[in-house]
Amino acid sequence: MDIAFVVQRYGAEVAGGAEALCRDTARALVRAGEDVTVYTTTARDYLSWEPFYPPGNWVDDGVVVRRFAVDPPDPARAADLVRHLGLVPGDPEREGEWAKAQGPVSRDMLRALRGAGHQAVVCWTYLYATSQLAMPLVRDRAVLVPLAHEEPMLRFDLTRGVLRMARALAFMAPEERRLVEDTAGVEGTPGVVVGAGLDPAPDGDAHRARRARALPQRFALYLGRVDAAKGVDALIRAHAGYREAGGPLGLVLAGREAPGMRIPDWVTTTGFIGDDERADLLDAAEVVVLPSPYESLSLVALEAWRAGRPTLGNARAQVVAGQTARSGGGLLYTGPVTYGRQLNRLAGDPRERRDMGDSGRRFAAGWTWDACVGRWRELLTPLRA
Amino acid sequence: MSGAPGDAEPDPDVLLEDLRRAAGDPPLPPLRIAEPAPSARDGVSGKAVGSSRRAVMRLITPALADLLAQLEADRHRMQAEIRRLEARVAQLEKYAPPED
Repeated sequence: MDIAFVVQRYGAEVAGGAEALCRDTARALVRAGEDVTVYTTTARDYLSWEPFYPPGNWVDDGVVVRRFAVDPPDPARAADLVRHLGLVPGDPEREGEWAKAQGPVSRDMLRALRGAGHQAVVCWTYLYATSQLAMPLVRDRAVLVPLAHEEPMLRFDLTRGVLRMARALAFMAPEERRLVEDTAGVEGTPGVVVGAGLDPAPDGDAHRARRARALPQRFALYLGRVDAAKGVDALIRAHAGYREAGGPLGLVLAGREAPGMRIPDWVTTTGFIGDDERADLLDAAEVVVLPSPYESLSLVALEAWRAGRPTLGNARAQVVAGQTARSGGGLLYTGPVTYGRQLNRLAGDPRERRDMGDSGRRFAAGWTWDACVGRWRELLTPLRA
Repeated sequence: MSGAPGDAEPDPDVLLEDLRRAAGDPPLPPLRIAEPAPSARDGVSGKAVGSSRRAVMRLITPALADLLAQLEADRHRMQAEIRRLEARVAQLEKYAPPED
């Protein structure tokens, strides 16, 4: 099948969960024999959209990538508008202004997309102008991957327009599907929870992790961007309370630090790590913590379960709560007090940790790219005509 | 196809207008938090009060918007749940045996 993906950024150098998922999915579909062309920008940064890649056509692991230059955005204006619209929604003029100020707007990309004859055009995330402006151009074969969670932009009229225009919707979890259907009233639109697959991971080695770095003897591990927007500041505060109450586990944050994050001395940080060290740290950790209140899919939870490690997730993230309930691979917390209580429970009971790790491992085993490709075909095949 | 006829440049404003039309009505009227009211006082003190109120509002806007998003999600979830239950009841009533 001839499929187009539209996404705001694309490439191995791009840091971002949505973009990484888009790239992994494109490569999985190509491996399975589908033709995928990606329409994207020359940008790596999601605020300035400054050119990083040259414009033109490239091939990345069998995926045809078409990169286009974009108009300069106005991120300060976009931030002001989103602040205002978060409290006073329902202003179409301002929403349109926000979409253009945030960007990325690429007229060349829109023209190329309109002239192409792909059987399905899959727009990744509802949040950016690449999807917002592409959807009306290809509405007869438009598929949207919302990657939605509870946030002000989900309630914009413009977002509802994007969602209602889609011929089909691809979700990451049943909780995301319910949220989108309830908020936008799109129960009648065909949709499939396509999810994702897990790439094979190297074998982890706790001894190697300890030889490479000074790690606490026992610790809870956070994997991902070290950023307040990911709930890491709240995690540090909750873990500080746990330590003061005599909790035995240290805290290790493994990921790139966002500017302005203040990390106390008692927290171990690693900065950005590669796949090998990631696997080693997972092997050395007793628990993996998932503090982000906003997730449309937690791939870190799946990674932890595949490594046989239990998770402790933020119950406010509905998707994480659902994944945890379905897998039996961990516990949830609702605030600092329950964080400490649940962490103590896991730290004090190796058998429960092992049982949860085993349940999680069985659950994660089903997250293969073959299965994911099958769900994508189920979604896209009706558009083939 | 929308945005522009033939080979003309696709116009973002026209495409955004298409989205507005597609949006239709929301399942529920959106909740709004009004801008802070201007001070009733005249002169410098009135201006100071007004600008203080706006500054406080700017400061708490991210937290408020976050709470509003949660509240909206809950409202929509409840409304959708009621709709699903009503449909289920209607379906059951359709097949229920007639009353004596």
